[in-house]
Amino acid sequence: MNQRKFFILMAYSLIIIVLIFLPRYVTLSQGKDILLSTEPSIPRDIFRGDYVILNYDIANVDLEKIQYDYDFLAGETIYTVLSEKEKYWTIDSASHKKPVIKNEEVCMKGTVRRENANILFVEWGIESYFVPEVEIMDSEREIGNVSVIVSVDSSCSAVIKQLLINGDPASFK
Amino acid sequence: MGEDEQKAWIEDEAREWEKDGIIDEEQLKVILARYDLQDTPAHRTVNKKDKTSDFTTVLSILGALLIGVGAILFVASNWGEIPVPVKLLLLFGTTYITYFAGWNLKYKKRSNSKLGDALLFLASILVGASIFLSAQIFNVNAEAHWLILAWFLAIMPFGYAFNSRSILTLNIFTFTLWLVIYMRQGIDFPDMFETFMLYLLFGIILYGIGQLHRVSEQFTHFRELYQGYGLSFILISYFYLSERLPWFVFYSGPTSFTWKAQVLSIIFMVIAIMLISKSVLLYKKDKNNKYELFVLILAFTGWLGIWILIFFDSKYSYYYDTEYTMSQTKSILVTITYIIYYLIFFILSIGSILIGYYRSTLSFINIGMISFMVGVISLYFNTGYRLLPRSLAFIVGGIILLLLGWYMEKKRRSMINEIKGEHKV
Repeated sequence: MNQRKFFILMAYSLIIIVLIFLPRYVTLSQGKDILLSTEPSIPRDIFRGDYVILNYDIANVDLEKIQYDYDFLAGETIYTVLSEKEKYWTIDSASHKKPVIKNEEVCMKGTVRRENANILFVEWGIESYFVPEVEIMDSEREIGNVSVIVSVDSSCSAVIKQLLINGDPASFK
Repeated sequence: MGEDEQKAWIEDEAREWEKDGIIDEEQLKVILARYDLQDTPAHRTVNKKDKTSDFTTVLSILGALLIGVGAILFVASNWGEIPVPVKLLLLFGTTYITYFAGWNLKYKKRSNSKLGDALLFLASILVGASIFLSAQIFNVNAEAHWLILAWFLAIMPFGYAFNSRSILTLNIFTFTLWLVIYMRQGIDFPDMFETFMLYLLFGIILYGIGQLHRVSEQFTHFRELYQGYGLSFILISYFYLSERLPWFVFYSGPTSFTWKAQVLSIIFMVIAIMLISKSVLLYKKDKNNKYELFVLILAFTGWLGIWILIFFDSKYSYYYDTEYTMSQTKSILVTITYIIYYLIFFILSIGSILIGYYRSTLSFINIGMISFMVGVISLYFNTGYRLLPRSLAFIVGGIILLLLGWYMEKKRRSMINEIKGEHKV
């Protein structure tokens, strides 16, 4: 194999990796920050180590309390419009298509995992926050009131920016 | 034609073959030495050197594997002392420097191709570690199936580009792992039935791809790898299905197939049919391919049979039924299903042994022997011992298995010795 072919191959694999993570980088740097309330628990991923499972308040969507276009089925994509209430951002409406939003609103895209009596369990793709292994036990003891700053972009994608414990940025150094 | 003329003809032909790329320089020397036209190459006469070389390869690959696993664990520890940008630079830098070093040794300097091969394999594992590190930084959800798919895609062409069996194995491993995680994601109590139905098709596809390599001059050595993995997937799936299928028939249908399983089944089925069609064409050109074609058709027919049983015959898809109906109609169906699928399993196991013998491929013989023995043990415990007092059944069973094991091992060794004998000639 000659040098040219080798470098083309290397570029190929690098492009694949960059293409996968570039949208997340763009969301993180260009998106609008919102604060979400969550309840944590801590398991382990075999490839990436310890992480905090974030069970957001917005994971359970009660369709009787918000506006929506028509019924959702498990596996479907759900678009929601969120606005800031007293402290946290919560869902105002849900739809199957990307909604038009006002300046003070954001939209978030997720997947309906289960539906039960008009309550949807939605996965937003921001349910894991990875932490260093050595800190896991300390953080488990300390975890009290946990909230998360999430960046949301115009295409309704969300990426975790910062985990807050009792209102302060969680530090694991 | 006199002896000298014959030798001259062979020498001319062999040199033409080498020029056309049919054989390499080393093989040319061995052929010429056979007819006293040249001295035997030194490394051919000393068999120990071959073994040392194989040992070096195994050590290098295992070393690369250990370093790669270490790198993944390093990522998983999420060590906070190193800043994120340094971690990224460290891992991506190491990955591509390792690729470069491997390429340099194997292709540019050609000084140590085995170490080069091991480094290329290591770098392909490090690609995975780099993806997991990036995913950790962006807090991508745990068990996200597409990370494994990304790993598979990022190294997909490297097995062929670097002519590496170990990278090709990693490709098959990553795809299999992706399939498992993808199928289980979002399901609280996953049913392994649909996963094994897909594995069966996946095995057929791998076996069919291996068959295609018979006609490839450059990559014909990948055939054994594909067909070995293909056979393993086919046999493991049939073992599982022959155990579970009667249970489904008697008590209930399997849980309904998810849309993901249905879409993947259709895609895999189309690919499998295309590969079987290609194998039929290969068989028409060369009748020696009949055994492989038989394996492909039998394995696929069994898959199709299960699909038809589960989805198109209402007798099998009843979730609840009355005792009377089950005992009157389903007990016969259970027995028939059990016998048919165990038969397919055993025919494929024996087929694997015979193909291994016919093609002088040890791995096929081992796969066939192991699956045959597992099948016999399973069959014994599922049927025979219920008819005897349990203690007696275990004693008799133990003696039967010991005798069977002794006989199978004896048979296996004699087959291996025969094959080795053929190679030495």
